[in-house]
Amino acid sequence: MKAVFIAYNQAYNEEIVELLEANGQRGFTRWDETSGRGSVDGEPHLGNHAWPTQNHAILTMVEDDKVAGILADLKKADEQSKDLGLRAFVWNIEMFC
Amino acid sequence: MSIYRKAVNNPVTTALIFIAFMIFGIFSLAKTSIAQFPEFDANVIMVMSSYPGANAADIETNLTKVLENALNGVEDLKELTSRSKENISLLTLEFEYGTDIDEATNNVRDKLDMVNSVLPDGATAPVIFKFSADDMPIMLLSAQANESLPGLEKILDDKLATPLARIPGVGTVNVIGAPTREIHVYCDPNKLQSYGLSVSTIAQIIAAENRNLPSGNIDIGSETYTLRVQKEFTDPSELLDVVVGATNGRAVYLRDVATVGDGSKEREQESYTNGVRAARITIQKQTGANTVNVIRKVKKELVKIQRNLPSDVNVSIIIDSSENIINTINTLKETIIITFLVVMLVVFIFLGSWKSTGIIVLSIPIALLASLVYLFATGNTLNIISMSALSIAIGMVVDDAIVVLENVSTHLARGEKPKEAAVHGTSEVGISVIASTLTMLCVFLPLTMINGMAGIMFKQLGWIVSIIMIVSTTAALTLVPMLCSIMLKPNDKHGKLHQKFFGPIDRFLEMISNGYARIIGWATTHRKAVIFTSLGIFVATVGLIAPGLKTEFFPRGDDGRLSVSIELPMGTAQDVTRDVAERIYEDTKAAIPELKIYNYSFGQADTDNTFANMQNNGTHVISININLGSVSTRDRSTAEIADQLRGILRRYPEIRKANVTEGGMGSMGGASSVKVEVYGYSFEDTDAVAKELQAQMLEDPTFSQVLLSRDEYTPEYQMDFDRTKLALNGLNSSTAGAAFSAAMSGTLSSYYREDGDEYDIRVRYAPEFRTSIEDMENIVVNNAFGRPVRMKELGNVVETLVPPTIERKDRERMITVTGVVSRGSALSEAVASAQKIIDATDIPSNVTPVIAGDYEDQQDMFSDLIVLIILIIILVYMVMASQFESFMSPFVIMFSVPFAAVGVLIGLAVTGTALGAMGMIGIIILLGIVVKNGIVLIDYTILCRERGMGVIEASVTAAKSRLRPILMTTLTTVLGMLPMAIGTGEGSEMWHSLGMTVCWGLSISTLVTLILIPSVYCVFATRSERRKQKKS
Repeated sequence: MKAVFIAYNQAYNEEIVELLEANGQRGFTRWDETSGRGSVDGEPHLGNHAWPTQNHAILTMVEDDKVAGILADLKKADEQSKDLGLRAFVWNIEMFC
Repeated sequence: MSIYRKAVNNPVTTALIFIAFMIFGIFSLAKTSIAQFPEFDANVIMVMSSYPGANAADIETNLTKVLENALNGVEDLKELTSRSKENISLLTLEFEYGTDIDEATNNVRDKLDMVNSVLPDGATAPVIFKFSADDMPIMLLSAQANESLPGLEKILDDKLATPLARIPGVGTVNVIGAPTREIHVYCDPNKLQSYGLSVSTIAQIIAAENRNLPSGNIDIGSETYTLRVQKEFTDPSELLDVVVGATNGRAVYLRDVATVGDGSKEREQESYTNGVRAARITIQKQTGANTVNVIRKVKKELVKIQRNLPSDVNVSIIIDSSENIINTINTLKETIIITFLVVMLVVFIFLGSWKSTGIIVLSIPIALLASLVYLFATGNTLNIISMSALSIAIGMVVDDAIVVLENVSTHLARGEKPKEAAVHGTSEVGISVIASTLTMLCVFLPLTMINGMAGIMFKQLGWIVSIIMIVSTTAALTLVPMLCSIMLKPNDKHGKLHQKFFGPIDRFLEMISNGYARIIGWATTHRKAVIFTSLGIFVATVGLIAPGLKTEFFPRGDDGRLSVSIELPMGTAQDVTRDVAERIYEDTKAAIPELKIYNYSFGQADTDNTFANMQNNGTHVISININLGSVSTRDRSTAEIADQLRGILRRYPEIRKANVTEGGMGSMGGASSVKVEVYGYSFEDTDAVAKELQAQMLEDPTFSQVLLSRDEYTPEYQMDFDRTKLALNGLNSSTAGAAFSAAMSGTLSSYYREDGDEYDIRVRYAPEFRTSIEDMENIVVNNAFGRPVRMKELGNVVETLVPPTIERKDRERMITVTGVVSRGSALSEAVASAQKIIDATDIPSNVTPVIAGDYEDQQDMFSDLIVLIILIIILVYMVMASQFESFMSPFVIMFSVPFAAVGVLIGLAVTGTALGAMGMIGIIILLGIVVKNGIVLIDYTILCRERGMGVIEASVTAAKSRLRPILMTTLTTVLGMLPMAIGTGEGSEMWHSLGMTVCWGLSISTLVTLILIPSVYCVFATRSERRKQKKS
């Protein structure tokens, strides 16, 4: 079981949840309107006067075999419109109940 | 959920809400009437009281002064003027515009009740009446006839006046100038004397003979019959057989001492249209009725009426006040359509896409139609002010939509889905769109709160533009994102043709943007040079142009109407007047080919014709109404023709006073006038000063006509009876006076009835026996002993002078010198020359001349508007300060305001226009528009700095990126105003200066501020940077 954290431009909106669903992933936790900035390049998403755009963030716990598919789809979405900004990070889940 | 997302997610509801707005708007458009100006209540109340027998000076002291003192304290009273003439005192109370006239009337009544007991015995109780522009005739008709002329009055009365008066909205219909039938009995005084008869006995006998008497009933057998004595005359000739006396046992018939004629009244108003005798019909509307609607109905009815009239009676329209209104409104409609097309074209050229253009210009009809709902709901009309407001707004409503659409496109280009791009693109600029609308509301909402004349004129403008701005902002935040989400595609492919057309435009705009960025790069490093050059421009323009600035009140309109009032010397006989009037007509016809309809009338008005009586009338007064047709049908302006007519009238030495007024009856927009009110108690002193001023002003080229308000002493004859002689004959002043008047003006003995109408039977001396003073002295009256006595035995006829009417204003005697401002001169120039003339004239210390009239109104309005401008500047600053959360940035932006003034000054100087009320409104509008560019520029500069750029780099980047939207919004506004500024249709003089001031002010201020504002910003920003560094 892996935790996938996805931070993405709010313009994607429902798209990411739909993407997860398409990969058979039902559960997720979402934070709307978060702010953030990439480490390398791209516009910051700070929701202020200078950088008005904002992000949403999703944390989802995925069965190991679904991770690759989800990441591939996310990568495809990101490459389609690079300016928007979408990043996903995966790490292990030690325990859950 | 935000309103943007709601709108985008529910496209059907969003669309339907705006469609509903449009449907209401179209409904309102169909139901809203049109008028020239916004409606306003009358602000004048007149109080009239008579004191029979008192002369002007007595009336002034005993009646006028008492009333004036009582009424002076009435609330909201602006001006109190009075006229005291023989027998009558007439006070005119002018209230501040916008005063509730009913309440004012009650206040006046209360005050009058308080003084009623102090008024002299014998003075009648003061009567109050209200007078408003609604009482002016809205239509003048003329009815010409050949064979039917003698019966014309009856025909017109039955077949024209009565049906017209039945039309809803029509107030009164008066027929003037048609011959009025009268049966006259002309007595020969010599024969009367020889038979021992008098005019009054004959009148009594005729009255006694001309009777029908019901005499009760009689029962005969089983029937009841009514009894009547039926001896009314059935034909005027029967009068001749009336027995009026007996002499030597033989009956004396009326035919023995008099002749009987069936003709028209001796003294009556005569009216001629295009040289042919015709009746003049004046139509007044009911208070509050809409002129255009009433006239439309009247015209419809006239078609029917014409069918029922005898074939030789021809009814034509002399003046139709709706014509000018309709033409003016049509011109404005055209202006609005042209403006719409121009704005659409500008948007299309900049965006290069029909879809985007469509989305943006859609907000124009929506906002415009929504504002019509307001007009309809508040019962207002489509008039010059409300229509100009629509036209002004067109260029501004698209701004918000442009900003939103531009940002949505940026988001789309980034690869967002249309729906999301629409929502986020809108929400990012939402606040700044609302802020810029707020600055506009700061300008237009205060307009709705001003009082006075300016309030009446510009309240609607304020409301309409405010409503349009609010609706268009709402549309920009809901409808525009919704349409964007549906219609815009991320990467719209364009065809080759598109590339061919828009490629160069794009490259050109790119070039300008780059050039501009380079200029800003230079300007921000040479701040001092830029700031001092700008300061130099400002000082130079203000210094050079402002002192020579001409001002006016309202521009001179051209509605193709002239009304002329000519006074010949008092007492000129009607025949002489007729001759003069005919000669003037012939001269005018020969000299002025533009004449469409020329109607003139003269003579004493009938006592039962109220409207004619309110105007100056008499045998020596000629009043002329001229219709020159619409502007488009002639080359010369009404003003030019008026001047020519004044020249023609000057050639007649017999004319004592000629007043040529442009613009028909009571309409605004004729030539301006300067009134010099000369205050002082002494008639001689004020007369001398006034005449001197009149002479000087006539020589001045800025005046085309100068008239005095005070008449001269006018001659009259009085029959002065000697009381002792009267007493010796057993007579008194009343009996002798009655005989005198019976002989001269006749006695109305009874009525001759025919077909249900009554005609006067008037008995008097035959005309040949009342032509000279001797004739008057030879009038016979039978004394108490039955012996005939001549007037000369009882007293003599003396010639005296009647003092003129005493005019007062604010409880002081005065005389007004009214100068009409000549063509090509502005009101301010005329005022300046009047002032110069006053200064140069030697004026006694007890006389004070004051300049009033249009100038006073103009000064009032200008001071109102200047206060408003200051208030607006403060409000605009406050809104901007809160938007930027800073005191410095809005201060920088405010630098564009003085350059708007520079632009206006240059514009006025270049076009030679005078600054009037409309121009002032233009300046007020500018306050809201010129700061918009600054807001866009500074906002983006601040954004760039927040993104980490240095001050100069930020200024250059902002300049480069924001030039395009600034150019676009400025061009839509300037080009949107252009049709108003240069239009040539009927009535366009009215809004020329409005469009012109906005165009010039905005263009110049944009050019200057685009360079100046970044420089000033850099000065302040670097200073605050340094301060920060020092602190840290």
